[in-house]
Amino acid sequence: MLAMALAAPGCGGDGSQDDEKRVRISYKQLQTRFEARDSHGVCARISKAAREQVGSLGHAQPTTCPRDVRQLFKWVKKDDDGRTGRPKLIDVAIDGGTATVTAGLTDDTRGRVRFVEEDGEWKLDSFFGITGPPPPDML
Amino acid sequence: MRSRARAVMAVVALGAAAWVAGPAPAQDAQIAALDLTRGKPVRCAELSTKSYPLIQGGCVLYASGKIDITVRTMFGPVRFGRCNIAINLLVGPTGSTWLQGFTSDSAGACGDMLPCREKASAKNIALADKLPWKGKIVQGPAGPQSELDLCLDTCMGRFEGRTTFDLVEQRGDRVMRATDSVAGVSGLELDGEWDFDVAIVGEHSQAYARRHGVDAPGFDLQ
Repeated sequence: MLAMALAAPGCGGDGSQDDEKRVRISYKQLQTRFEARDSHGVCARISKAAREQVGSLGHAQPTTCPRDVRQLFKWVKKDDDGRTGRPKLIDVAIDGGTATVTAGLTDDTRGRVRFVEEDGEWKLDSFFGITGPPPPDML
Repeated sequence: MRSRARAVMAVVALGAAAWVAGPAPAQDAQIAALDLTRGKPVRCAELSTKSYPLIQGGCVLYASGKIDITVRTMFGPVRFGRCNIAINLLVGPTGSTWLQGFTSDSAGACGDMLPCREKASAKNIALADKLPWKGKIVQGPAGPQSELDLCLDTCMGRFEGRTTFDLVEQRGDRVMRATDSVAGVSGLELDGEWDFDVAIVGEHSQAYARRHGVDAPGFDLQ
């Protein structure tokens, strides 16, 4: 709710500092929803491109977002304590309608994911720390 | 061709201990290859990029083995697969390298992995145009390391970034080892070992081939 309120048009966001907060909130909410295996909650916070991406994994054809995300739940390994080992957010860099989030993958390695502003909200735009889409002949 | 090359390589081999990388900075590293048939160091030929993307010269390091590949995400790790991968790497006299060959087995997701070089905007380019990857051999904290600017297209997407392998000798084998090595900030993590051998190409190996009645390695482009 907080993220939605912040994201609503006309809420008086004061530029990148406000955007950074919203991205941070979106990132944490996504991790929480994913860990709770809440496919609808995850789908509400990912972009159209990310929905297509998760639906296309493993040469599949996208179905519905919640169903595709439930498939992804099976692929992500859990740590021994049953959690998924969520990488902590380290930095957010905003460039227009795109945000690059840097997270700590292990003690000494970093990964980056991209968020985009879509329908007034910051949404995850790519599930993996990739640098580009798969080539057409691999889909 | 590959079996002939391996026949040569088995004798004209390079021990990991024979890699001599000089002190930092890395660009001053000197690479010496040990010719086991003569028991003395041999200088690898200069690398030439005149016919890029075809790279010429250098010693050739062959490595193959099984590597566990994992994609680390903001939700946790996703296992990509345990892939049997073979590479050949051209090594110049000062440690600069170019990857000239990359193959993976086709089991599971491993078959959904192709090397790439161009930016994501370049699509449908021939596989032959997707190599080489650039890299270098440097002196790491515990011995020589091979750094590679990896680029892989997969069914999950494109992964790019620098990854590091340790070059070590283990129970008499020469091993190229990645220990949870993440390629740049891509999240693609490699873990496993490749056995490797090195052939010294160029005039020296041709002389060896003539003397022993075998074909010179097919990658000898001089």
